[in-house]
Amino acid sequence: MADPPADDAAIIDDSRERPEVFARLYDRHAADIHRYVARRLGDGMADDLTAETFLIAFGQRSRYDTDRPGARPWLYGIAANLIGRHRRQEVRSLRALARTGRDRVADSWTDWVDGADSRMAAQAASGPLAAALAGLSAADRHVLLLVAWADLTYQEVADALDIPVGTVRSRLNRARRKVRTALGGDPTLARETAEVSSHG
Amino acid sequence: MDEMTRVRDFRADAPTPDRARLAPGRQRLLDAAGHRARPRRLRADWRLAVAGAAVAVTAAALAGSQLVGGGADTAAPPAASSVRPHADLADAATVLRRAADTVEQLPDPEPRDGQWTYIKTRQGAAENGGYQEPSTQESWYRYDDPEFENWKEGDDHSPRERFRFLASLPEDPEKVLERIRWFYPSNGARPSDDAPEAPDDAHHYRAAGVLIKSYPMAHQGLARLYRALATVDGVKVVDHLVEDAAGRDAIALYFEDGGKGPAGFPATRDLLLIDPTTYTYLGTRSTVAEDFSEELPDGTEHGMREGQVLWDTAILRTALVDAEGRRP
Repeated sequence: MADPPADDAAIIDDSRERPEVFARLYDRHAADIHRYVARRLGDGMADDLTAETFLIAFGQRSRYDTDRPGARPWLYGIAANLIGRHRRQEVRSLRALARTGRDRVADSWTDWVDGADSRMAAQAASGPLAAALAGLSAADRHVLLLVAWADLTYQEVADALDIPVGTVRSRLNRARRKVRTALGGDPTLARETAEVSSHG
Repeated sequence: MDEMTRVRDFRADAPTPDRARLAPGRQRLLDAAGHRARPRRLRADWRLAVAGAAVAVTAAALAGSQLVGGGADTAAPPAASSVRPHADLADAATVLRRAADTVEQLPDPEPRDGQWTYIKTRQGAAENGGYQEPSTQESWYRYDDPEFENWKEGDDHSPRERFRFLASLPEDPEKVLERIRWFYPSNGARPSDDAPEAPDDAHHYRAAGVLIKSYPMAHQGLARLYRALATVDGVKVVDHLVEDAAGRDAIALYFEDGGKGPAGFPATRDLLLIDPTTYTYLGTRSTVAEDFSEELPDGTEHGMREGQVLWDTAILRTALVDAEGRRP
């Protein structure tokens, strides 16, 4: 019989005495972190930043609060911090997409042999959104994309970025308002309450 | 379409990497976690076993093989090909006393300060669940390394400290065990003379295991160590010769503790491999101690069979050389 799956906190706790156990955390979450990094900075950055995220997490495992059973917020927080070091690169790619209609980040994983035309059209349509994302502060962009792409709850984003949950809410509001405006919508209609209920 | 939906749809075709893509990053993590990084440490003994298991679990999953529950044809091959019947391997204490009588005839090397120990090691094909090719490594350690003396790195002793310690072991087995508890304390830190550690069989076995692997070796001390180990409960010998990572016959010692693996890992058995002629150290091997299966995050079932080799290493050559990087 297999042992029942240990939660992340139990693995981290175990890894303090048996460091290699930490690899189980990698098996659980590396794919998600990798995809998130690729989506923000491009496929070419994802291998290194994912590995670095887990190396940093490993080094900090003694400080992990094992009252938090899931380690996803912690890992995304470290990844966000590493992504933040490439802020200019991220913004440059977004601006280039807004300007040229070509998304070099999506190009990093796209196979252009099939359906090139429709994909190019889809990329071009993302221009205004890319411009809006490029215009956000780094802090607001982290919050927006952790909610939208990593599916973290407000509380998890707060844990990830080590900020109060009220700050998460206000940053998300501001980011959504800016994006909405850039997309031509009414900036006063950010539907915050719906997001709160759907994300606990 | 509201703006959150637009953001969620943006680059939504970003790919999820497969395990092969993630494997190098995983290896970096394991390297950082101590796998092979500090082979001299006492606690590396059991940590290495876990590392082997961790790597093997993923490697087997990568290969998409060794699924449990599909019948006998899916079982991982045990190390059956390496079985050599041997009449004199019934009892570990007897083997160890014979070993002691043999090794005390061996000449000791004469190391000098300033020299380096050269160790050439082979990692067997079994490592990484057969995923990795066998590989050979060479390492150099300074014989009188001041960084690893006087408890500067806890119980990570320089070759000189270990050589001298072995040469100084007393004849009385009980005193030998007391000395090795002191030299390799269970917490790895400099021991306090006020509060000596209580005798513990598993602790004795682990500490002796590190010393048996030591090079250069003081053979009179090794003989005394073997005789002391013969008095320790739980020390067992596999009743046949096994094949080490270099294809040589080996006597396999292990400690029976009835323990389980940590959460998410198979229980493992670490074998200490000894040359059946000279009774000196040959290498190590870790095997799965009981059938194990688990569900991976992607929903696939993955398992390992009792007896499956997780990793093995063989010492191919040891020597004293005059400079780092020099070969004998």
